[in-house]
Amino acid sequence: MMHDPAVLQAVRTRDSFTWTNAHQNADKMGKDIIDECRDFAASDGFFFSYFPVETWPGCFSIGTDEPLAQYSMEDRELLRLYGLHAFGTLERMEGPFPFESYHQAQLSPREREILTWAAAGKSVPEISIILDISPNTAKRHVQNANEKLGTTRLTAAVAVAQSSGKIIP
Amino acid sequence: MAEVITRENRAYYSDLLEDMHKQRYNALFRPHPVHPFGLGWDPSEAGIPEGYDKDDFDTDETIYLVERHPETGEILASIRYNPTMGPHLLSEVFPDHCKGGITRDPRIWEVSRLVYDFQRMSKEFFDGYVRPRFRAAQTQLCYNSGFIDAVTWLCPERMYNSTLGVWPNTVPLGLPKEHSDGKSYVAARSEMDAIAIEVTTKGLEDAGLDPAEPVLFQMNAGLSEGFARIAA
Repeated sequence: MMHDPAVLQAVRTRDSFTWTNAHQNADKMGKDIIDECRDFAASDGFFFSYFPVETWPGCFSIGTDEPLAQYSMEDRELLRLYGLHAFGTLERMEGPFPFESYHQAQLSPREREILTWAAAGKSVPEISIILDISPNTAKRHVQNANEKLGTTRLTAAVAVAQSSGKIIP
Repeated sequence: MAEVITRENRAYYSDLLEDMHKQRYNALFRPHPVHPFGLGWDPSEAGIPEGYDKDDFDTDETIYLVERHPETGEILASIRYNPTMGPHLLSEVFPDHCKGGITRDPRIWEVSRLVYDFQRMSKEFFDGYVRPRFRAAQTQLCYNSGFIDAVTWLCPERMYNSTLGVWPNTVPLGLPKEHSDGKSYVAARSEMDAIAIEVTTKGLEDAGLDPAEPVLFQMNAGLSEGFARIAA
């Protein structure tokens, strides 16, 4: 999240913008993030920010492999309204942001540390040596992280933690 | 407790209505901490006299719901309901907000002029008492009467999600549009259904209030007659 150029752009401006706009203002890591979206057939997209009166600000980002020029202003407004409604519905279902499930998925500093080392290719025994803790303690932290992230394997936990910004790749 | 004012009992409530129109003006158009610059538009341009908010949509058919302070009797909140079969804000002033056409249905009413008077209550009293009760009252007025299936409304886009949180079955009637005050507004229709009752009842419980305690003063015979007359 710290490098996501769309989020950084949203902090700078309250207006809607395109991924291309965000790409132009991004650093190298930010540009890489948007470039990677092309691997998922999303070459460009829209980003809408919302600033409700009573709850936290939020955003809605949607990508496409079609040229944005074919979307009329009315289409864009419709997408923005769709995002607003989805955002409100999510808040109603999950409660005010930060959602309860978000709280549940908060990793402890030690769990983040272990997943970060795992992302660097270290095994659990190696991580236990690096952190000077017992292998069983390291395994317990991995188990806790799996439960919080809804995963069953360390590699999956690393992937989820990276994609949700809980650890920085 | 919220009181329901209709054409049938309006004479009894004439003083209260006078106070409501004055209070509405003060809350909506005079600068105060909640709206430091008022609502951002000049009420005189809409023919609203200084100090007294009454417009073309305060009619004989209008139903008012007024929440009063349990001890002082002062008005803390009010809202009005207008039948969509007659002239209403969305049909006369903001039809461009309704992409699919103007709603005309005897069982769908328009709500407008929702006003909370923050000069007469603390934030704590508003959050913990007035708002949950008034929200429940607005919903029960429709659902329990058996005459209103849904309401339409127009509000600043930034407040859309607040309403969606109370009346979950809500759909926009058109795209948001920017008004002369620079704010984006959206019109929507909300179903006054069992889910809305459930959510507003939970709102009472969450605030620590007893959901069994009535929030509407009465559902009198006059009210039913009023609805029936308009529906006919």
